[in-house]
Amino acid sequence: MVHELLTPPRRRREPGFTLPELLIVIVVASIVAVAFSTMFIEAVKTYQFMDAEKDMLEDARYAEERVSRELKRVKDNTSITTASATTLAFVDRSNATVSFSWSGVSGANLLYTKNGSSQTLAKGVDSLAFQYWTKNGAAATPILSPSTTDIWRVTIYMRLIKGSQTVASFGAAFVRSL
Amino acid sequence: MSGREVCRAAGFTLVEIVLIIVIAAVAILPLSMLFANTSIRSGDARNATIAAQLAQAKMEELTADKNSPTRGFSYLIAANYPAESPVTAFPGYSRTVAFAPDSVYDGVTFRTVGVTVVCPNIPPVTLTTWFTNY
Repeated sequence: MVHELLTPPRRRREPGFTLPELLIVIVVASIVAVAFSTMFIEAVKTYQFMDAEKDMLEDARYAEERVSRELKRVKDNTSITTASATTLAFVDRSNATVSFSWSGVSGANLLYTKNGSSQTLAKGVDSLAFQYWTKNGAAATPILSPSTTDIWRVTIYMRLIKGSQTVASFGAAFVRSL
Repeated sequence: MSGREVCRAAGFTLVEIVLIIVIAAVAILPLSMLFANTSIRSGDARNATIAAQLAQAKMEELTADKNSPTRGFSYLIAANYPAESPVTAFPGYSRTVAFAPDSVYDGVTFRTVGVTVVCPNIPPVTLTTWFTNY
C-alpha cells in the first residue's frame, strides 16, 4: 500500500490489442479473404461454364436424335418436299407434314413443325447443315417431290452457342423408306 | 528467481506455428486439387457425347452402304473406309473402322465391323456390329 502511494503511478497496460496487432490481423485476414474469394469465383465460373455446356449438350443430343428418328418415318421416295442446308420438309407415314428448319441467323432456334404447329428442338443454333447423300455415297443437291428423290442418307451438323461457348454435334440417318 | 529465467510471453512458439502451417497446407492441398480436377474434367461429358454421335453416324453410313443397291455387302471393306484424323468439322476427334475376317453360320456370311472414335481425355468409344450377306 505504502509502496504504491510513494512511487509515481506506472501506466497500467490496458487489456486489448495494440494498433500494430490490429493492423497485422487486418492484413492477414484480407490476404486470406482474397485467396478464398479467388477460389470461390473460380468455382462459380466453372459451375456456370458446365451448366451452359450441359444445357447445350442436352439440346444437341435431343435434336440430333429427334431429327434422325423422325427421318426414318418418311413415307416414301416422293415425300421429301424441301431439302436445303437449313430446312428439311417431308410427309411422314401418318401423312403428317413434318419440317425441321433454322432461319440461318446465329442464335435462332431449330424448329420442328408438324401439321402447322411448331416447337423448339434446340435453342441458340449458331450453325446448322443438313447434307444429303445418294446411294453411291456422293453429296448431292437432292431431287425433290413430286419426282423420285435420290436421297439415301442424311447427315446433320449442328453447332449451338451460349455466350462465348459453343458445342458442335453430329447425327446421321439412313432413311429406310427411300 | 534466477536471472536466467526469461519472462515467458503469452503467444505461440515457433514450433506451434510451423505445425499449424504444415497442417493447413496438408488440408488445403487436396481441396485445391479438387477444384483443379473439376475444371479439367468438365469437358469429358461433352467429348464422350460427341464421340458416341460420331461413331453412331459412321455406323449409319455403313448400314446405308450395305443396303444400297449400288454398293451392298461387298463394299464393306477396309479400303473404302479410311481412317479420319481428324473427323471433318470435329478437330481432336479421330475415327477408324475395323473389319474382322468373315465368319459363316448356316450358309450366311457375317462380317464384324467396329467403329472407334478416339478423343483426348476419355477412353475410346467403340461400336461393334455384324453385317450379314443376305
